[in-house]
Amino acid sequence: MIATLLTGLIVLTLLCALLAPLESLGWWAGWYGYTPDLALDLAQATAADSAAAHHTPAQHYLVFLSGIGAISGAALPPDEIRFLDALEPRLQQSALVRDVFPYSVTNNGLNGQRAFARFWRWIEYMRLKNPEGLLAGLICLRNMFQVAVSADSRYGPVFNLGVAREIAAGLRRRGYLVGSNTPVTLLGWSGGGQIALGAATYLSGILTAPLRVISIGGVMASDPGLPRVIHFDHFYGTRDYVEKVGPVVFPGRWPLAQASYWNQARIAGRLTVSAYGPFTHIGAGCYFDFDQALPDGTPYGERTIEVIVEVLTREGLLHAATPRFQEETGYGYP
Amino acid sequence: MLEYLHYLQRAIGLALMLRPEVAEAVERYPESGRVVLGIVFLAGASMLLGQSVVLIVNRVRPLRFLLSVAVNGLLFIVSGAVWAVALWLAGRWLFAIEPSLGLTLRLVGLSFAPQVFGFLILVPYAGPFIQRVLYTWSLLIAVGAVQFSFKVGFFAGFVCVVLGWLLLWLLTISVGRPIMALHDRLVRRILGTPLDASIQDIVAALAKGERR
Repeated sequence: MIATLLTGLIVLTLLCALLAPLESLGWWAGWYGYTPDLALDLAQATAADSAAAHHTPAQHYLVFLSGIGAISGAALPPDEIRFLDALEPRLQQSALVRDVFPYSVTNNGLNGQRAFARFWRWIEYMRLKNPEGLLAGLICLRNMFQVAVSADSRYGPVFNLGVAREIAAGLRRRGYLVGSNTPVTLLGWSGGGQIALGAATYLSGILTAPLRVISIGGVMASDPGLPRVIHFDHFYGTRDYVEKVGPVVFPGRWPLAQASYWNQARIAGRLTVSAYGPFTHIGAGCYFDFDQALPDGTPYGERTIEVIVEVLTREGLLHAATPRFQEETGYGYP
Repeated sequence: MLEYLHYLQRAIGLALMLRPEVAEAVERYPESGRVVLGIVFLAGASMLLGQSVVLIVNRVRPLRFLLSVAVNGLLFIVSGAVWAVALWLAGRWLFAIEPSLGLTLRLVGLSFAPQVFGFLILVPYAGPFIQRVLYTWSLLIAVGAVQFSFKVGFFAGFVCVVLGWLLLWLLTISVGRPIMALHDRLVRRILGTPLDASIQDIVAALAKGERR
């Protein structure tokens, strides 16, 4: 019985792994009736944005790339929604883009127009009933392999280009003008950290604007996107054992690989790694938990917001908190 | 047919486990050559599937894709035979025993068994590592085949495999050049594309805004 279950699990995992690159490769090869042509899309986007330039866009854009538990850009896990709702008012003149599904080259959620959409909708329904259930793990498994696709030098270029296009589209939906040089920061959580770095390779070329990446508990490879970002901040919790997988399984992050993108960025001072609390990866005590608090009384989720705001303030993308702001809002950071 | 598939599956399993019974059976039954041919064909088709990213990136049409998988299986049989002949020549030169070429061909053919799982190279991120494991596994079986054919130890078998590989390389860069050119022309003809662009080149060109 146990042997059959184990065999079934291995076969399922292998099947997920083998099917993982097909979506992005099929998109590239035109299997879905559309062949991507970035040059054409970019020209159209720039022309449209020039025509719409009378709008007042935000001074900075923050793009949230969710963890592997997401089922679509609109259906994030409840703790991420609560976190983003708390983060958004603190971003001043920055706009938050939160509807990009980073595990699809076409921003097509698992419950969208796709072959197994019914199955994923059922899983989503089951997850709502039991968020800690095993079935929800299937979403994580599927998306985890998309992270591997992003980190793979064979599939990564196609996948990351597709996601970069979708991020650019998400930015434009929030009023971003391509070619306006408005700075953009990608906020990647968990697997979203890798995808943020991967997409940065191409996003910098699409937007021709200053690009930064913040990772919260990210699991990332030494990605070719690193030289394309002004600064990369990686924050993690000391009780997060998923984040600890990254420095082990990605050889480019080993201290020995001095010539890797990761170590070169670290040596150049463009990569900062910080442990900022006793957070776990998921569940109670995670980065987005507002029910547990640090010894000084700051809820975990609040502390995560603080470090993000600290980085954006350090980079000059948000204004420093004035005493009046602190008095009015009670927040130490804007 | 079912019986053939049964033998095929059993031969692959035993070869993967480096079990000597499979070599004994191959020696005893010359008709085992059909099973070995099946292994090499499957290995060729599977390895092409595993390395098919470059075909998809170059937007090879589905029918041509399937045809190239089958043709690669056949080409694997030819290159496997050349590889076995190289090992046989190296072994004859190195060792006193002179086994029949047919037996060496069948035994070396078994060394392709791990590559039947070549499609696993598609697995994201771990694929290139899996590829190295499969090649190492094949090498170990090839050493075992030489050991059995020439009745020598592991080290001597390993030296013979290295020598055979050197001989093959020398053949490829000398008299093999026209044959390789023919092979490349055949593959290009089947695929309908020169496969001259790597994924990095194409995507980088697109990202810079160059039309392809």
